[in-house]
Amino acid sequence: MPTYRKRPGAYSYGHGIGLLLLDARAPFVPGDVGNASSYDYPVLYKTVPGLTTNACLGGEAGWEDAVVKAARGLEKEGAKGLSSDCGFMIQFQEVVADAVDIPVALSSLLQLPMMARCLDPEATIGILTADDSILTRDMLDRFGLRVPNPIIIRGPQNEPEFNEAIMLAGPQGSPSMTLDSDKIREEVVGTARAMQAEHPEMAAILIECSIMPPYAKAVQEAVDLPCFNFIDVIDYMHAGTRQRAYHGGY
Amino acid sequence: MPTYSTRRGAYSYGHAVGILLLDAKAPFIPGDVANATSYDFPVIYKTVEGLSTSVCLNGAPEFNEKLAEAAKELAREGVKGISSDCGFMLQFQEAVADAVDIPVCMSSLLQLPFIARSLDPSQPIGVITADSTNLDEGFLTRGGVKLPPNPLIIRGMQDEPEFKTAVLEEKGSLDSDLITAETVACAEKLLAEYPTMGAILLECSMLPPYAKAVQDAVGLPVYDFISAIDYLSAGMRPRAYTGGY
Amino acid sequence: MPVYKTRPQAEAYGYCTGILLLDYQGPFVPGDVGNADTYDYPVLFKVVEGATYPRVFTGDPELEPAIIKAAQELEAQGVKAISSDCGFFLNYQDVIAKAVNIPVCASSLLQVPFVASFLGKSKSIGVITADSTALSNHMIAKTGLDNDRKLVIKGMQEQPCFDKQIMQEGDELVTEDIERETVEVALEMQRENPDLGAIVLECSMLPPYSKAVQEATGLPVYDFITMIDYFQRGTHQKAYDTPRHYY
Repeated sequence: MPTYRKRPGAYSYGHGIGLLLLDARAPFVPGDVGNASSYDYPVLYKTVPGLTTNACLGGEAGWEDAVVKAARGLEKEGAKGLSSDCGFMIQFQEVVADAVDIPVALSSLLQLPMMARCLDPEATIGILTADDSILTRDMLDRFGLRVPNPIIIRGPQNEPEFNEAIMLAGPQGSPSMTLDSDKIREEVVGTARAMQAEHPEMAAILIECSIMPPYAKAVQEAVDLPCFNFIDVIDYMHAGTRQRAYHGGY
Repeated sequence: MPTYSTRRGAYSYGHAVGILLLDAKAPFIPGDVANATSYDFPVIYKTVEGLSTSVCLNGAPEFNEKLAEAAKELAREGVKGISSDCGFMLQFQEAVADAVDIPVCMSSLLQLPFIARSLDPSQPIGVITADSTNLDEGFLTRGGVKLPPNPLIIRGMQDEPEFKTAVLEEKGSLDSDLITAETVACAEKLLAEYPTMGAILLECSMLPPYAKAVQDAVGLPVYDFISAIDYLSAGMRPRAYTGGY
Repeated sequence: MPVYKTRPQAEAYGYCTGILLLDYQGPFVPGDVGNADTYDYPVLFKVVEGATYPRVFTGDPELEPAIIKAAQELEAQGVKAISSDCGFFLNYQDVIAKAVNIPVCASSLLQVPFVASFLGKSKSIGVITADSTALSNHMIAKTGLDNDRKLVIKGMQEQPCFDKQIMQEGDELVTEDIERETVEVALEMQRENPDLGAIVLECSMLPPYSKAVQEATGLPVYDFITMIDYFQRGTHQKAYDTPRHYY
């Protein structure tokens, strides 16, 4: 057993990944990025005060300092890597990665280039996002996520339960203060099925939104395609910060 | 690797907990104290011949000596702790604990004071037992359980048709869906009568398979025989920690 | 999948146990109560501001409002049970249990009567604490231990490395040093008390050495983590999914 040094400013230890949270109150069900039980390792959350879903999705200016401050706080507490609970946090990827010394993957969208590289360049990639009126191919290009593949982007933003429970959830919660996970699963699966109906050639799906991993299995069963979600990115980053010891036989 | 010596009287090794069994014939399903898959560690069983369920429930001081002997045999086999498959074995706690040098937890009921200490004294604790006609505060006190200040609400399963015929009458089969429904209904009734209830303790060794269903239904902390045996074992199997910092 | 309700004050979800932390800074190594990687389930830490260990050791009543507030905040975040990272939080066990509706196991010392109930009448139970001079009879009474059970208490306060690295909030913790000292104290306790039946480690920084203490003494060793794991079990019952033909 080794010698351990005090980490100045830390009151607790042993954290794996630090996660920046939007200032939004909604139930984060098991499998959600905002649910601590979704991981096989300890995660540490930090809300960016005032950064609402609308502000983040709308790309409101002036939030860099608050996001960097929260990120540095998590690093100081001993997080081994940083992520967030919104794919649209891609807008802060560069500024946060520059500000800290640990690996940063703020957005599920970061896996797009790797997914593309695993597929034929002509294979169509579907992106299941929270709001397809905001996420565009231009936006992907702007944040350095350039891929040769055809991309289709769809979101359930107008589906009743998704809209009410997620899109309308502000710092005080949503009007109903509840989330019906059966309904959301139907809406998310329905959106994925519609994508596939329009584009039968679709080869894989990137599930951008942090509330959708609980439904990723249902999506996969419905479309029978490779699907990658937000938790996959966080697990991947974590794996790099903590290699396993192997004990098996041969 | 160190050097190991032969343990005199042992024919096999590596057992964590030795469990004394009633002389009873019923299917012991996953989650039951008498089902070896219920544990994350190896257990070894020993039946106490002649100690039937009804004899045990009605009180059987004449078995003290026999239990002590059986426990000593388990200790010679190298077990690290001793338990049983009936909460009413509380009556043998002292005789067995005095007979061996390893820790002994003969009954799920030993958890009561510990559970009570985690609650406010005003919060009632529900106890669901195999047979409430035999379990009262006098039985607990005689068994050495210090009565907590919390109200104890004791309810029995003895009149539930499937539990009665499968467990108490040993009809030879057990419908776990029916017992799930019977146990959950009993817990829901307890909570309806005592809305400030703080926790439920399942006394009976055949009820842990339904603890999750009870918890899902009432949303309260639920303790059972397995939680007691897991705790007993934890003291003899400290973990090596390999995590990060 | 069911319908879920928003917890109005929750920032994130899925936490199991909430842990009140002393206002103390030092390295919490794997196995320490203050190390998130010690657990097989997610825990949520909350520092009680101003709760330095000398104040908690003596049960300073002025800390009560801050402790209650922190415990209630943890409850509002959705934790299923509350514990702490200092056995001397026993001083506040009752006020915390009154203030929240979930199980509270603020102190490792609450286990002492439970472990004692596993032992024959002639056996004594040992407690190794951070500071035996601070562990008063009044506190022992608060655990609910029977008066007729022989209790042996030993402190770590005179061990030089424990004092320098832990009590003085040192910058550096050498686990070999603390392990050696803890094992020595346990062996001394066992030598002086041949009737010793089990050991309870009070201090939240000692569970990393429970295994070494057990290997040295051969006795059952219970610590802060065995208690937190117990309450985890009671608040998160598991399904037994062994195949049916396996019974």
